[in-house]
Amino acid sequence: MSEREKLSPIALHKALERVWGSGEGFERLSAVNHTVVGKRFMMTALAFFAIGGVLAMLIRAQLATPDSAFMGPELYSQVFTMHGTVMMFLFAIPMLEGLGMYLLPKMLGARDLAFPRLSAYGYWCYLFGGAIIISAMLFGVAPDTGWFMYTPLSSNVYTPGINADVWLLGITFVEISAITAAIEITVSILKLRAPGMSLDRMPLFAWYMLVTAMMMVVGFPPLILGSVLLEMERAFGLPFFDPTRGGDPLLWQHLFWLFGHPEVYIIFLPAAGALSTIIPVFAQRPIVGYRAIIVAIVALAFLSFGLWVHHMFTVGIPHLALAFFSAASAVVAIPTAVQIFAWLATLAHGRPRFDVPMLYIFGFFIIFVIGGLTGVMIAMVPFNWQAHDSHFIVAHLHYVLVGGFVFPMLAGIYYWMPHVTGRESVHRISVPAFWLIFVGFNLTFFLMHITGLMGMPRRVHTYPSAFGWDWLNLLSSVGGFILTMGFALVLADMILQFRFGRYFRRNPWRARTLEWAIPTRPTSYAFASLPHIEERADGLDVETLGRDLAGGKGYLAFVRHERMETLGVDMTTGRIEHVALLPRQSYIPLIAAVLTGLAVLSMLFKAYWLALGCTVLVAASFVWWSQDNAIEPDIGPLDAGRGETVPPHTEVDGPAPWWATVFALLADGTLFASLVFGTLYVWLVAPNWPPSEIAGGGALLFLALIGYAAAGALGWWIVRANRTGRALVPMAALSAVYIVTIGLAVVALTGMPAPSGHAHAATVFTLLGYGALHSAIGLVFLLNAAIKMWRGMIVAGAQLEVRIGSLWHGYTAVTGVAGIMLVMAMPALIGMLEGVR
Amino acid sequence: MNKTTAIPPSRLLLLVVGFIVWSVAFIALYALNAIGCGFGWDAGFQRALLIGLFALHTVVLGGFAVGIVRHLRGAGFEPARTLAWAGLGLTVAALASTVLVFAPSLFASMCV
Repeated sequence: MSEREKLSPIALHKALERVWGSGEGFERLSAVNHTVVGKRFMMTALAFFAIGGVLAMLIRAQLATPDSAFMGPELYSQVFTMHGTVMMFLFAIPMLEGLGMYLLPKMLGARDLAFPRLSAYGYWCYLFGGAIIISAMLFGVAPDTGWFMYTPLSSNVYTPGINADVWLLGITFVEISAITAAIEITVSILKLRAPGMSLDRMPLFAWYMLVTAMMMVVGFPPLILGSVLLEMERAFGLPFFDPTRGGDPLLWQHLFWLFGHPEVYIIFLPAAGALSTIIPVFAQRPIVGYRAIIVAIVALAFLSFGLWVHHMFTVGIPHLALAFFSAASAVVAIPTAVQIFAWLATLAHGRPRFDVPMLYIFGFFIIFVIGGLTGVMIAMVPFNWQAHDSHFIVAHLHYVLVGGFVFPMLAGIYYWMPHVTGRESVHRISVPAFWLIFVGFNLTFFLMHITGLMGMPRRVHTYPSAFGWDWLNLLSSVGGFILTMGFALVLADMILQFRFGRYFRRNPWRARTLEWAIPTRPTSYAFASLPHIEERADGLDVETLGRDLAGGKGYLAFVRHERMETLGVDMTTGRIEHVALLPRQSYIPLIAAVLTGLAVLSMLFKAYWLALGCTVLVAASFVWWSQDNAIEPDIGPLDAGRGETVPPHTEVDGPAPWWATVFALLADGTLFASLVFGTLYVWLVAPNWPPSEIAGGGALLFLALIGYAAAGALGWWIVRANRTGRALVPMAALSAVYIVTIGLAVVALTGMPAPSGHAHAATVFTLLGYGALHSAIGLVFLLNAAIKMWRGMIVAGAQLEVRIGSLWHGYTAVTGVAGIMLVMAMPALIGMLEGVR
Repeated sequence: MNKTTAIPPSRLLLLVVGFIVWSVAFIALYALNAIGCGFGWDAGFQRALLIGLFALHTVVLGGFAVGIVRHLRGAGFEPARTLAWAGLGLTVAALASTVLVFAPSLFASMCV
């Protein structure tokens, strides 16, 4: 295999395009390529941004004058709720995911992301989830309780229609997309880089995206849990947030802001990654403080999880806890400032040259710093109490989010558009567009600081003329329309570039990162051959490298058995480790997403049996997906080019799928930890405790506990037994154990108080249900592995599936045992607390 | 195959160990405060526990920082050196954050 016929660059291009290309017409629906999916994410996000912008215009039209009759309170509530929801969930997060998907393989020297089909599934989930939410608005049943959905306002009593359900189910659907993207990005950065690209050579954008993706893995599950619990309360009456039955509305706020505050940094960090990429190019020198920036972003990620209660300073929390969260809210400014000073130092020590992206970077510095400073102001509890729920907060959050995300993204759009289109920007309208946006933004939102300090509350559909807010609001609205004109010009500029932009040389900015070493517009396979990196990957001679790689002087300069191949490396050193065999184009992700969407819609319309049927079909589609992905066993070492021979990913320890399972379980574990937190929170804090009937204890639960412990041991045994081809016996035993644990949970729950009676019974129901659900998914894992064994796809030398299954079985065992132990401990915990009360 | 010296993935823990301790301290102190107030513990007892936990985490982080400084001497090649330097920076940052964020354990009113 080591000596191959060397293909000419054109022949190599044609051979690679034949395998990696996404097809035309109807075949586009089967596309899994990162360039295609990344662009789809970004274009769809921009479409949602336009919808969110129109909603913002409606808000400003309503508030332009006092006593306005333009919209009534019901419609206004839908409009401001949808504006926040669309901008946060349907624009900002998907936009950063799309940018990451599009750029990361190209920046890291890989041909694609680790799980192309997962990218496609995530995109379809995002599109369908977003479509459900926007459709609800068109039918007049959009969510109307604020983008944070505070209970009890969003509970059944005060929001009896389906408005809140649309949010809870639609956003959870979109969150599936976000979690899949986060896992995809994390694993791709860690495992699929160019050989030689050790962590210390990785471009800062990849560091930023790595940290962001890890934050998403840990930050989104609390919101998913909260949404599931609130939907269970709304649909089946389980009173997690109902204080009359032992629940607590503040539990929702905790779960929401456990996600919500890190979310701000999840949005900011990728934008900061774009800045750390663009600023050195225009400063014409390497970034100052590479290591300090890595330290700052990791510190920022952790600190951002210690701030969530600063959104809840007015709910009545002891001074000590307020002091913790206030101090953490101020401290988080330090790592942010480290980055800002690093960018300023890069500009100060370089020879900055002007171009349109730099205008937006200038705008970013001013607007984001103002937002950061007002952030430190409202981190102080006494000021927070005064400014809470006023327009001052509206001004602050827009300065942070627009300054910290939209301006850097606009800089990024102008910087990378020539990469996407292969054309030069038509800059005649770029500069006036910037000034309209900059002036319009400040006119709109700076004045809100003043109206807020003058006492104007948020989320009111109108105001009387007596308070002196009239002119300020009118000017804010004028500013809003100027801002919109600026965005319209940017859109026009983008269309003009697509349509009329002059074809340009490969690297118009003289950048030194790898994405500019490929042809622009990008080819489907990104690199004709993969580079070997011997220096930091933000200071490369991309012109020479690009020519060499196109000429086939790198790794994998061939097509083998019509397979899509890229290289996997050691996480830290970048040492070449394996050939990753990627799945081909497929309609299965689309089918799985359609089925997932049908399950969500069935739940929305209370057709629960249909929802259950669709869920079973979703599970079946995943098994089909896995079987379709199957790679023949015992391939053995493969030629990687440049004299290297490495095994395929199925025959090494710790390839991308194994790590993806680890990170998926980390997300799942965060959800479980949030559930334990919720259980203990209502026990300790909620009113109307103790419950009249206490659930917990009993021989059935003890048997289930033993069952879960056995599941862990059997999962481990399956891996060992498979080495000698005798895994079917422990697999059958584990299947039986899972069925028994599900049965025990069902029987135990039938003998317990109704979960709708009290929050205690509801949490017990959820803990046991969590374990049973994992047992059921464990059965799917076993079924999938059994089919592959029957097909001869799992053998002693290639047992990746079995080891991945073992991770799941181990996790199910640990959380199953922990959940049951907590349930069994609850009667004693309730008794202890009752004793002191 | 390249003969780069192997650095196990577990070495990445250097980057997060400091702030994991900080996170544990946050959860422990916040939970202790909630439990103490929920159970109506004596103020002096609760304060002593809070200060003890605060001091324990500070000492642990100081110990980690010293350990990483020692480790740094043996990390003479890349990327081990960058990881060790970044790990040291993050552990010191976590130590400073612990002192700044949890110092109110010494004086702030606990259940009001």
